[in-house]
Amino acid sequence: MDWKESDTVGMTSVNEGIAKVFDRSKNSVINEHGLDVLVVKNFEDTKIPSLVAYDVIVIDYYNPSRASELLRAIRSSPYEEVYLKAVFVVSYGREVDPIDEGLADGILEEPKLASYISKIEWILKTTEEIQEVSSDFTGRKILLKLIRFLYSRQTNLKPVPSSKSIMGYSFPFLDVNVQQKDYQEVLDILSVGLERGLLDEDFIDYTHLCSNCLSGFINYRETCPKCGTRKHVSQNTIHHFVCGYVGPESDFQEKDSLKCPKCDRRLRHIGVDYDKPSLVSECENGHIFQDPVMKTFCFNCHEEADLQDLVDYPINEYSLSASGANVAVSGSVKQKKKVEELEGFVSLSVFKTFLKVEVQRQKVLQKTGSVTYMNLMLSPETLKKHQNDYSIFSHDLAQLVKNQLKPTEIVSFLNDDVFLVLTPESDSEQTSARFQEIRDTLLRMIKNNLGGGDKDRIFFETFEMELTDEADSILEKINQEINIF
Amino acid sequence: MWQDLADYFNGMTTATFFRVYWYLFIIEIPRYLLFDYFILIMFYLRRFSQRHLYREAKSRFWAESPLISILAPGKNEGKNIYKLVKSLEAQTYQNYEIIIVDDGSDDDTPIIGRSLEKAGLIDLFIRNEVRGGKASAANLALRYAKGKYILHLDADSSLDMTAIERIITRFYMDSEIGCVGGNLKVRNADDSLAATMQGIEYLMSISVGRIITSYLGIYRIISGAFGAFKTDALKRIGGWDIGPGLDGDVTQKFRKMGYKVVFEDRAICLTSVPTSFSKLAKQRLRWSKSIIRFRLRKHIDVFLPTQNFTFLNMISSLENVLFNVVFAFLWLFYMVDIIIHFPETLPFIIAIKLCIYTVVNYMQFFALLAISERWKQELKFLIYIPLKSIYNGYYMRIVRIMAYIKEMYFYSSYKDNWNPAKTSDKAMQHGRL
Repeated sequence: MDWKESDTVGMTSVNEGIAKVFDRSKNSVINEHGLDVLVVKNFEDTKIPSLVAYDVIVIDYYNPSRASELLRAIRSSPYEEVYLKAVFVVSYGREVDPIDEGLADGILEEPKLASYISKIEWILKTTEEIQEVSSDFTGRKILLKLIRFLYSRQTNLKPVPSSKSIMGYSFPFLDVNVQQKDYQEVLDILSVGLERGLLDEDFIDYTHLCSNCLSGFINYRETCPKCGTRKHVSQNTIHHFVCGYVGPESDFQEKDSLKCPKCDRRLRHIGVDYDKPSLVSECENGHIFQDPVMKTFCFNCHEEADLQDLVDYPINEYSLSASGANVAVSGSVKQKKKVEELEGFVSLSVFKTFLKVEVQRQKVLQKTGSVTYMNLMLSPETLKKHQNDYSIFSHDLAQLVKNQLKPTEIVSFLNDDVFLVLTPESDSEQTSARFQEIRDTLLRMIKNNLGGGDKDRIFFETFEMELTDEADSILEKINQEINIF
Repeated sequence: MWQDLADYFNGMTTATFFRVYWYLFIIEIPRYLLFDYFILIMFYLRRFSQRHLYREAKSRFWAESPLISILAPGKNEGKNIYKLVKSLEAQTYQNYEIIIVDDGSDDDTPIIGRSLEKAGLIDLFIRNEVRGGKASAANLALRYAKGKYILHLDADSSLDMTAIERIITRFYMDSEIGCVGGNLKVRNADDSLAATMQGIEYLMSISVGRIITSYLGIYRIISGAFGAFKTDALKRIGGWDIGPGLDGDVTQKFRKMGYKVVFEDRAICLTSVPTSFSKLAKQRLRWSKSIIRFRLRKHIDVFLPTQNFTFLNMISSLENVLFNVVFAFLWLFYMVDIIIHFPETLPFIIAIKLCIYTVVNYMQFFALLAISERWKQELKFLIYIPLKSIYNGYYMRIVRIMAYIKEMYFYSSYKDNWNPAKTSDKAMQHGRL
């Protein structure tokens, strides 16, 4: 193994170099197989932008929480040269959190990369390739990030059992890129990836989720079928062969032995003197039963429900499809439907132009307007229902939205079921209130006319255009919410 | 042939007639015709004179409206449970809980029982994974019973709509009554000749026999198919002991505790009976063996002058042993005597005997029809009455004698697979309980 200190660190002696590697007060840079490797030990000194300069990052896991923070920061970066960086964790035998393991490219026992060289080279090559491409990918950028990440690793997105995930399974790369307000978004992104043909899925497991909040943190309660109480005691019954008495074990209990309450004989040998033919429960209210009713209690939303109300949600492993691999490199995706084809809609570039014009106009007129995004988050059930006629369904949805808007409003429909609406000369509070009504109307219409269900949701937010704002800053604000551009 | 029969009959002297038919005229007609029907008349007269007592008891019963625990233990009875529940739903008295114990069924009974329990049609369904026998299943149900009275039913029983009200009312007529037997009638009498003959037997022999013994205070068997017990008393004696014959055994234990045991003929329960003579023989062998096992072994003390001795208990067991066991062997002796001494005229003797029996049976049958609550349905038995002589006089007697011999000499009730071997073996080991 050829561990060399780089010139930037200025060390020459190998022994001193090794000593430096194990010195946790400072980061160190080593060179292996011609790769510049930053070994991160001092988290305070490590700034994300500075990581771009190195080919490989190795994070010392002596402080798991800080190491985890750094990993998350790298993978959630919007820049390809950062989030695609080859990152390894050196554990020195410590147990590494499965989420961190999912974010890293490998776990090292000690800072030696020899077995990962070909992987690192592939990562570097694809990262360089991807960086040079200017993407016209419309849709949530997280999806593009995901497929690029998977492509650069030639790996699949594997669900990791995790107590930190509300569903019980976590997709580490997506988790760090999605604001954890709602896990549904992770599922939606994956649904969109599948629907666009960028991802393929392979079944791994079913997880039983709360029907109210999709949480997998469920307490299973055995309750009395008559009064619903959870306080009950189960006992074996004992059948005394000699006299035919049958009753719960407590009837027979006498200090450390068993004695028949009917004939006073001592029971000595199971199978010879007695057997235990059944299990009987008695609740605090004196109800007897054998089959308790299973109820569920969601730790997340405190919903109590019947067992059959749980949602059996399939957990899949996701792999990049051929189309996904192509998109990862090209950054382009074939549009399902050109927005120009939809009457009354403009493309994103035209929308940006309108926005710039409006910004200038309001500065002249001293009147403010607003931009609203509406994000349709349709449930997997609804998407599945329309998997064969999705383009028609999507077109109908767009028309529904358009019909709710004023003639003066400019609307753009991005492929990822996101609508951007420019409302000139408007009060943002009134606009927000109006969009709330529009949202309710749309949800009702989706449910009644387009075969939707209660799990379909629409998020929206209205951004007031300040007189000092520029078009780009407004779009940046929106992007911070939905990572769409 | 008819001429030969007539000549033989006309040629008989009075002495020869009594020599040949002494068993009929000394034992059977006095006991089963004259005595029974005299008592029956007395019984109805008393009922008429005490009808106000019955009405008052009924009022007290309704005023209290006690909870009644209906126990129906059994194996592979799933298909019958729903019908039972429906017949209970039609009862005039509704304050009851239904406890079903599934004694290790290997069919769909657990699924049916559970679904009925979930639907609220039965109150408690307990499934024993391992079969323990009828007594243990009933005891498990008894353990969890909360009612003041226990009503023990076979799962294939169904009740007339006033059956519960009538059987429980008897407890309110006399506080010393510990258990009450219900009146069983055959539901599937049309299924086969064997079932039809049992229909006649239940109507003419079993019901009447129980009315008589109840009237005399020597009633000794509460049928498991339909019997009511005071819960506290039943729990005090530890419920049922290992069978077969557990019905008679538990009744005897009540008698020994000093409780009165009565029969309520107006509380009607329909039950299914074996439909072939071979199955019937098996059932009756089991029943008859229990006379030896329980009356002459386990409860032999009722004949002894112990501190618990009562005259009625002794008479109760004595009547049972005398008319069933002793007279069965006496009949055997009588038949051997006839075969040896009158071999040439044996066919004539039997033919005349059957004619006499038939005439007597018709007299009994019409008398019973007159007081039966469902005489129209029972009229169909009319054409089968001549066969009753063969059924009762020969078939049943032979079965009984076989049962007594098997039990007396071979303890065969302990080997009966009606009960699991694990319990029968233990009963045998521990003093032949």
